[in-house]
Amino acid sequence: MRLMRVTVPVGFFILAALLVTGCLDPDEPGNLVPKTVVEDLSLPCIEVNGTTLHCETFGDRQDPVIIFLHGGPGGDYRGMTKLSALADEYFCVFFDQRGTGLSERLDADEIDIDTYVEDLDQIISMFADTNQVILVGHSWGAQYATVYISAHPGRVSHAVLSDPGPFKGERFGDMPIFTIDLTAEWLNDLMWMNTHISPDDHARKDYAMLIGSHDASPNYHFSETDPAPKWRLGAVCQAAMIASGTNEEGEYDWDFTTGLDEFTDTVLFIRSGLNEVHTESYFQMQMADYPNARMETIENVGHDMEWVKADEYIQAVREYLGGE
Amino acid sequence: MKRVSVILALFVCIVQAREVMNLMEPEAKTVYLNLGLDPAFVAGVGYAQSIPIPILNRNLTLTGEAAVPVLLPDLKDYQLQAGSRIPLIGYNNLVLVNRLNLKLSANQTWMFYATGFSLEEGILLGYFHPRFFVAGEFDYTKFLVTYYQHTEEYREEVYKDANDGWYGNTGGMLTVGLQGGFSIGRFELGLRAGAFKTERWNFPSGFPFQANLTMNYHL
Repeated sequence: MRLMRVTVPVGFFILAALLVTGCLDPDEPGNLVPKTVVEDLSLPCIEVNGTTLHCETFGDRQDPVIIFLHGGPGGDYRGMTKLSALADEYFCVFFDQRGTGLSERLDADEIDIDTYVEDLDQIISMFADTNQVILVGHSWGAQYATVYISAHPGRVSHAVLSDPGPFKGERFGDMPIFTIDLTAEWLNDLMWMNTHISPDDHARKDYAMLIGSHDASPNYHFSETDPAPKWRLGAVCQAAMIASGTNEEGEYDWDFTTGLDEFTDTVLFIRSGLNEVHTESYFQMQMADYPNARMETIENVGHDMEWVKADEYIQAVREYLGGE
Repeated sequence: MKRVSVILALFVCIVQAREVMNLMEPEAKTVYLNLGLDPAFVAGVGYAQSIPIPILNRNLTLTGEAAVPVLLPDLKDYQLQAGSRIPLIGYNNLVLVNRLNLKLSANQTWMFYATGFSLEEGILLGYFHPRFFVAGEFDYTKFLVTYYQHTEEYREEVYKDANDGWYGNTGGMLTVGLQGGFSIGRFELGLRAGAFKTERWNFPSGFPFQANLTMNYHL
């Protein structure tokens, strides 16, 4: 009791002193997570469809345009930046999609699949005018490319789809993306975060989402020695996009394939050899949605192949684009 | 930072725990074991002691608990609680109880080392019989200040300019739940189940549920 009479007031005094003297604000961009283009005006950006997107371009604007579509939804393009080596032959456009990466944060009701398609259409017009473009999409980005091609097949000349997410929602349930292992450290850490921070603001939500980015999906076989870097994840964006592809019964009901019959050019699918989520049979099923498709495998790499084996990836893209 | 954590831990490791039933017993002493999902899978040990407050005609119960995650034992993640519990008003065996806890939490992840203080204010309304009790609870935990020190891995992989330091107002959690228990001799068994959301009514990280099994022993 005596000890308590001393320690509790001292503890409260320390807390009060910290509260009065001022602490860092977890919701202020730049503290826990980087600022977006809205808060840091030095970041390269474009205005598209009523929002501000983080965007960088490389190469000569007279060259054929490649637009890179990152994974997620709710990821960012930093892990694809090594592909800017293609800028010697192509005009390369990288952007963080609506509501994620270093792009402006938005409420969930401003983010859905249809708006994403409209965003991409405006970006293509911005950089290629009426010319066709090449789309290079990774994971969710490959789905994004596919839903866009379905809607606007005449706007795309070539497509490279690496480890694409399911073009139809019904395929999603069979994919071993997440492993719920109750003894996994990331899950333990994620739940224990509830003892000191709540995911209420964009910054805090994006911060909390990163906890599982290393280990939540072991079947992807991400590199442990050379992990792909990230700018900043978009938690609200991810939730909104998943909701956008989910019906009232809670079933994944998207179908991005409805207009693919009109796209008759050959599509290059690239598979990461170690990946156990996107198996070869899964690839065959996905490729069958396109009238013409072929597959290449980059061996000894996981789902982060654009970063870990960028040279082989670039070579595959050059051969595909040069050979068409 | 570890030294700071240990010093701060000493300030608060005296007290608080789960609901022990000795609300009306003066000078009761109890040790207990707490197992459950709260908010990760944890095991905790605690001590509770009732102190008569004659001027209020009440027994104030002071409690203390130390808890660590158990499915993946990791002593870098822990929580120490110090607090009090006092019956506010009662009618026969129907009692409204106030609970106040000061908590120290530590969490080490691939992104950061975090050490934070939070304050938990809870209200229980229930039927408290000498042999059993059933109560509903509403609880608000406010995260007061948390020290974040980011790892090199986080700086290299995500954000090199992340700010280390004390962060204020990192949020809070609201919990609603039910609990009950019964006693056999010196032993008591308690069960608690609830759901929680953030103070802004968002889902928390991970599972939004709590469940505890508490075993008490009266000294």
